Amino acid sequence: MNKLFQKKTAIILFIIILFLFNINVLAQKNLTADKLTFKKSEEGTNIIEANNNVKLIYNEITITGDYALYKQAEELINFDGNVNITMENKNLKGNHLKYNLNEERLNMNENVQISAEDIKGNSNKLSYNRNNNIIELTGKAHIEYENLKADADKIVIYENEDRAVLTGNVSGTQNGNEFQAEQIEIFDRGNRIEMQGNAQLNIISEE
Amino acid sequence: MYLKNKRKLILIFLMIIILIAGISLTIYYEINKDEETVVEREQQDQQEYLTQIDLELFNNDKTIKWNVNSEKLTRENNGSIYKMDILEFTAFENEELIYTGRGDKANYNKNKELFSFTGDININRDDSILQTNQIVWNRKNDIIKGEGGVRFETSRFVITSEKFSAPLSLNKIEFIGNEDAKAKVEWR
Repeated sequence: MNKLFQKKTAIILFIIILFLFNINVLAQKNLTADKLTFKKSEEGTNIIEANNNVKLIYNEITITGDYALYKQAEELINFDGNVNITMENKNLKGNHLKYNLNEERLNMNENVQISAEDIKGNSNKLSYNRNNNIIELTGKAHIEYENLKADADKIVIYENEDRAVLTGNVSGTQNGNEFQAEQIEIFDRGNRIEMQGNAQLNIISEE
Repeated sequence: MYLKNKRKLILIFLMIIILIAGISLTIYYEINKDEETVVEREQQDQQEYLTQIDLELFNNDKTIKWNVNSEKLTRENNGSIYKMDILEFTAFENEELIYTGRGDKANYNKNKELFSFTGDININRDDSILQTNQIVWNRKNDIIKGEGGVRFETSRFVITSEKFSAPLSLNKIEFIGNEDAKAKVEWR
């Protein structure tokens, strides 16, 4: 009886410790750098500049870069130079990032690259809403799955639905077959596509 | 004959004793004189200690004024060093209060123009508090530097670092980390 009680207590304690550890990891919100500069904006709100080896850990996202500027009034943090974002199952790279901490929205531009387990892409601009896991690539947008490659003016990736919508001057290949359309929708990691508007499919024979 | 010699011997013996005593007294007097001079000098050096002092200090362009209140002020090295105990200071920029602070000890080196504070230093500016163990105000360039661990708290975040550097107004503070510990912001 006593042994059983001890075992139960140990299990409960273990669960509590695990829970507290998880809370601690999730709750990490810090910014480190070689040099931080605190000052006030013209409006009198707090600003922090971070220089060299800048690293932000915020709600399970890790962002590194050369320079960052935090504006408390807007809860906004801007990164410049070699920006690298690591989160959950993907990695984002670019030259500039605007991260709205309240809205959990990231906007990147210049040489933006995205890489995940089964998807790769690049564009001039990227917008990522962490609340609904929707990624928007605009300006010379390119996307790659294992058997599909496509270019478009705009690509919207719906991560939760395993779906992507490409609009404007869409062209690409799927299993070697060429396609063009005004809009295409990609399902099931590139295994199925639906085309709309002046759709053309050029099936290449295997000869 | 024997008596004559005995008297002579006693006389010589007495003369030797008087000579030794004279030399000893002279040496003793000289030593005491040196010690007295040192004590006098020290007393002169540490002369004039004052209690409940109010000082006014200005930066180079006279835009910032520091009011320093100290419980005790001691002057040393012919007035080139001033030492103060338990002090509070208030900074004004063009007559407007910008921050207040306190420390355990302060030391002003007149020749080097360095005003250094040690102890538990707390500076309050707007909604923020700067805490450190040592700060130095270089009066040649009106820059304040601190090291040995710095903590800066606002209602939204806490900054920690090894060192800091700021103009006297504290309107822009640079926090500098080292290889072991980077400068860090932690949101509340």
